Amino acid sequence: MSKRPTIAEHLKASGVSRRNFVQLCGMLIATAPVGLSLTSKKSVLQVAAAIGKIKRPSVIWLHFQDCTGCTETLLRTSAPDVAHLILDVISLDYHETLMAASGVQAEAALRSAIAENEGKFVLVVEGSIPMKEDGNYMQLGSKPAVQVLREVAAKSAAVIAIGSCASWGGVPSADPNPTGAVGVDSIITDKPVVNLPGCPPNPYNLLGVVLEYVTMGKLPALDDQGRPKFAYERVIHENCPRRAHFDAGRFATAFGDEGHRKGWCLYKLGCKGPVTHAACATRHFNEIADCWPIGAGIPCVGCTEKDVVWKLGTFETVPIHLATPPDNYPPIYSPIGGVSIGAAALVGAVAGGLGGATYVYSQRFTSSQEAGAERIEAGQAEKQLDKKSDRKEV
Amino acid sequence: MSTATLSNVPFGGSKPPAADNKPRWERAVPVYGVSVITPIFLALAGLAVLSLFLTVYREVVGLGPASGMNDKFGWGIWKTFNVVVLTAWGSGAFAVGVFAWVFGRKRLFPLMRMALLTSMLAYACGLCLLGVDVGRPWNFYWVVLPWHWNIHSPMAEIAICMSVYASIPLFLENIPPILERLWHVNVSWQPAIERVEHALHKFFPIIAAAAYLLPAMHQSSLGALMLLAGQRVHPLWQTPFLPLLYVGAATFMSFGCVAGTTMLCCLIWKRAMDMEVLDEAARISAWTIFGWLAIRNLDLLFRGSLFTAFHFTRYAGIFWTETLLIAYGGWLLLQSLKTHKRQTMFVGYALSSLGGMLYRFSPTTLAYMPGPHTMYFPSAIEILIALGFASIGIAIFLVMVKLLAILPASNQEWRNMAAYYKARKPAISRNKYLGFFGHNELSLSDKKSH
Repeated sequence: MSKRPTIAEHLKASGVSRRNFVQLCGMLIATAPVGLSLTSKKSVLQVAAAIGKIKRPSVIWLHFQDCTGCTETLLRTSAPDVAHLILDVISLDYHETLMAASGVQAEAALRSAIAENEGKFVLVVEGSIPMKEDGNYMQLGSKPAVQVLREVAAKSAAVIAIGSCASWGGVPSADPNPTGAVGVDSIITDKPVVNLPGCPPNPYNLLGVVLEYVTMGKLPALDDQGRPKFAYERVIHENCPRRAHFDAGRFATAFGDEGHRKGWCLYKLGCKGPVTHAACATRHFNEIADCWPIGAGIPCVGCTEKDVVWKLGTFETVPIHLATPPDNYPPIYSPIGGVSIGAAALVGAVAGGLGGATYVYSQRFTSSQEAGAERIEAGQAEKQLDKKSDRKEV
Repeated sequence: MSTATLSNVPFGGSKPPAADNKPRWERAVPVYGVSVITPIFLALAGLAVLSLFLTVYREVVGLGPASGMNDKFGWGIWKTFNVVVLTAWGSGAFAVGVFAWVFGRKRLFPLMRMALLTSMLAYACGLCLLGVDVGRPWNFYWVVLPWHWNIHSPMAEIAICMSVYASIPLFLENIPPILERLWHVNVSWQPAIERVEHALHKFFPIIAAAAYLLPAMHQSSLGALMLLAGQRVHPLWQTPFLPLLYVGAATFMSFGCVAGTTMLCCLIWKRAMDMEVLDEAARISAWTIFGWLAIRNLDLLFRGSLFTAFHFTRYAGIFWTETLLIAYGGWLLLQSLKTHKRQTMFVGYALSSLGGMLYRFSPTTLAYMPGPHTMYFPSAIEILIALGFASIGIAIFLVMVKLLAILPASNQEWRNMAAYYKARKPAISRNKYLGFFGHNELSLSDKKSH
């Protein structure tokens, strides 16, 4: 097997300056998901040192029953942009949408990419796999998709299922599921499979998983559905920018109504945020602030959840695990404000009283000086008395 | 000035009398011969109890019905008066301390105990009321979970600095008067008290440094908070200099509070006043005021906002009221340095503090413009709670100056006190309790010297 250069060596050889490389690392540390050992470093230089040592991971990307939306979202990443991503950070050796080759050439490219990095490459799968009629609903190079997947996955180090289709079937598996579409993890059971559901998922989740795998040699912590915890541990509702409106009971009830125009909570329009595990609320898409469904005024459809997106009605509300605040808490009013007679009288009385007292006492200052003097005289007298009594005691 | 009368009075004491026979503040002496329970104290305590009942009402019915606050005006008088204004008046420990210890104005030393006590009470009462002001008290427990704090908020800086400042440096700095009192309560406690005092002295440099850093940080971040309000604050007040102006206003307001309160106490309890100390405080206060006014108006001039002060608007009226109050107060303070009239000085402090209060009210309430169709005026309940919490502080102050050696006085006053207790309470002067004031003169004066 040919010796693969590390990322640092590769960059040096291709004439990328150290400055540009550190810039790239800065972008990574700023945008890659938190909770990964790679990006939780103290400084950009530490990240640069860690990444520089990595041998660029070989990535083979297979498309099955999909809309290429996941690839599209990867292409629209701007920091790091896709050129950096596929040329410098990972080595994307086979990707049907991004490569120039087709037909026999493409098949040859796949075979050589597998042979070069056998047992070491990361396989990314996009799209669901048809299982009905022996998988013949989809063929690649005269082979059923399921057979291609099995062959390539057998030689890979780890499998990443990107998008809801590859994770659990996605759109093609919606009722009545004519092709019998399933996700990768119901076919590949002898390899670690990371699910990155989402329609599309945030590309940084993929980047985070790949880099974590090649640096640390292990996959990030996964939940019971195989989703990395750093991105899928919390529900959207927890960090939703519109959460305050939910808590205050301000809901949009129809598209275009006052609440909807003012950016109130979309729960009553069928938002699935309270049950959907994803990091959309904190990491918006394509580095554009508020570029995500709820930010655009569209209720969350729950695309990462197998039991939500094609199972519940679009405008159906989901049960709230913990509705806050409970009804027995005091209401939160938003009155316009006004002056009550009692309050005004009170302010007047206090101001008058304090002002009057200040005036009265300020008038006494001159006379008090004599009073102080008198007291000192009295003290002198008492002291004299004291001395006399002391003598008596003695 | 009636120095003529005073000059006839011979001064006794361990030190030789001053050449001019003017009274000197040489030690702290409790107010003696006066009952702790006075009509004013009872009135303040009554108001405090009423405010506590109203606090319970506010917690039950919520902020909306109980206060005049609304979604546009989230800052009522609890924050504006009890926190923003009272901590400014209560910045004495910071402002007087910095001038006395950092800038070496040693004449201010006699005012330090007053400054420390008023600061601690102002901060403590303000912080307690801030707890009442929390809109959703059922979420309050997050405060004790520091890993959930949003440390990028200036509010966090204020909250952390204020609570740490009030609970650690201010509290520790107020310990010595208490130790002095305990020293004389029971002889067997004395070794322990000495050890505590020794330990405290070891840490005092660190405590003092924190006591100057923390209030400077939180006073300026109070200004920074209003900076974040952007265009909602009228241009006459909105300036990048807000943090500095807030610290400056706190400085002269706290001088007004400390020196004015001391003067008032001396007036009420018939203490002789040390005009040298008061002159020094008035001088610093006056020049702080004029420096502050210069910075503020030059800033307005260079930002081109000064012309809005000549529009016929409410805001221009507020601006001129507070500017004239502060400037006239400062001018009166300067005048009092020439005429040596306490009355002028006291009125100067009162007016400049009032003007400073108005200035502190402006960015948060008076000149805060969150949008049309809204206004804020405190509800009666809100006002009573605000006054009640302030009166708790004043009531505690009244008790403290009678129990502890806080108020500055001459050596002669201290002798008078000793004589008073010997003559009127001979029974207790022999045993522990009143040894504090009376017969153990030597040890007390020794203790005072360090």
